[in-house]
Amino acid sequence: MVGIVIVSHNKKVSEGIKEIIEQMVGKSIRVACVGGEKGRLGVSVEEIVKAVEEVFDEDGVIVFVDFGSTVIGAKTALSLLSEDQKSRVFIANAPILEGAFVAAVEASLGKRIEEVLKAAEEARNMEKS
Amino acid sequence: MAGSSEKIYSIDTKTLIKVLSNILEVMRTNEKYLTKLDADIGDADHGINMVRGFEKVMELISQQNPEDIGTVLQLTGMGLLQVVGGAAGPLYGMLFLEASKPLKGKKEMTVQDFVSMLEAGLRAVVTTGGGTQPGEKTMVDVLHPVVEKLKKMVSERSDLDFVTVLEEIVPYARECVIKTIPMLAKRGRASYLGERSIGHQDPGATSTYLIIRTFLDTLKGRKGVKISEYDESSGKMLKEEYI
Repeated sequence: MVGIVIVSHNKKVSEGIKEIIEQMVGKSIRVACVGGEKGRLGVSVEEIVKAVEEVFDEDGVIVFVDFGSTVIGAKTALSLLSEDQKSRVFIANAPILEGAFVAAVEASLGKRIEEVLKAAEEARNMEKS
Repeated sequence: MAGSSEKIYSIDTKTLIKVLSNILEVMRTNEKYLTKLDADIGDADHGINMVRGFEKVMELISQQNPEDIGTVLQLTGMGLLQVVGGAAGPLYGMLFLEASKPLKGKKEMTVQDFVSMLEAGLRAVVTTGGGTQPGEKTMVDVLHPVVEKLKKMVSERSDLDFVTVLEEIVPYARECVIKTIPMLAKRGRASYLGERSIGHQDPGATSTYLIIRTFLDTLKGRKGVKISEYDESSGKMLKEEYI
């Protein structure tokens, strides 16, 4: 099953998203979350690498980021993965909460990473008014 | 080494480690100043980030006792990637990690190696930042012109020693930092401020300058400098004192 990593400037945001996923989709999804804590904003590159490794398996991992430095941090983290991991780990060009939620639903249905990523990126177009 | 006018044509591993330990002191001494610059246009964590980062670097170096320049630079990059959050971690982390490559296995760094190191570091910063150009109010506004000037210097003169080179480069790097004040930020959190980012000295350009000048200070037997006076509104560096 595709794994999910959530990277936010604030760990409460990442953990909140994980909680929504667990409550609405279930606990079978592997979700790792990182974020700034104890008053610090943002995360280090190594924290992101570790989160990816925590949920990585042959089905791959999709990383969701909020904005700015977490995008740079996640891209850098991906560039440091092994060649084998690199080909199966992607950053979603999607809103962090909506994207991660849609990805969790698709992953729970056993979809392949390409399909999960596509659905998650379409979450950008979710109509709200 | 202090007060010596002897020409230094290469830096060994031990001297590089001394430079890094002085960089930690310089970051500690200027922590509040860097934080003030970052509070004006960023998220007020640049000072503490640089201190935490170089503390980790020195911890890794003392644990692993590296023998060559490449490994020292590699550990520096790794330490920064491990603990520095925000954009400074990936930018400085990748700078040192890539800078280590041309120096792999070398126990002495020549002026030419120093130029190759900074050139590789600049490339890493540009790539990591997503194609950062000069003029966007970032550390590239110091690194890019410094690398260009260094390349020109070594192509014109073959007998250059470190102190001669750095005594020309350091004031130039300082001017480059001052030039970031009127720039409009196009990268990082400062870019969300738009026009309001104009009139502030860039914190990343400032820490890059402090790092470059600590090479010179260390070779001259000093630790580095404290920015002891600055303009309250723009953060412009006005006075430096040796620490």
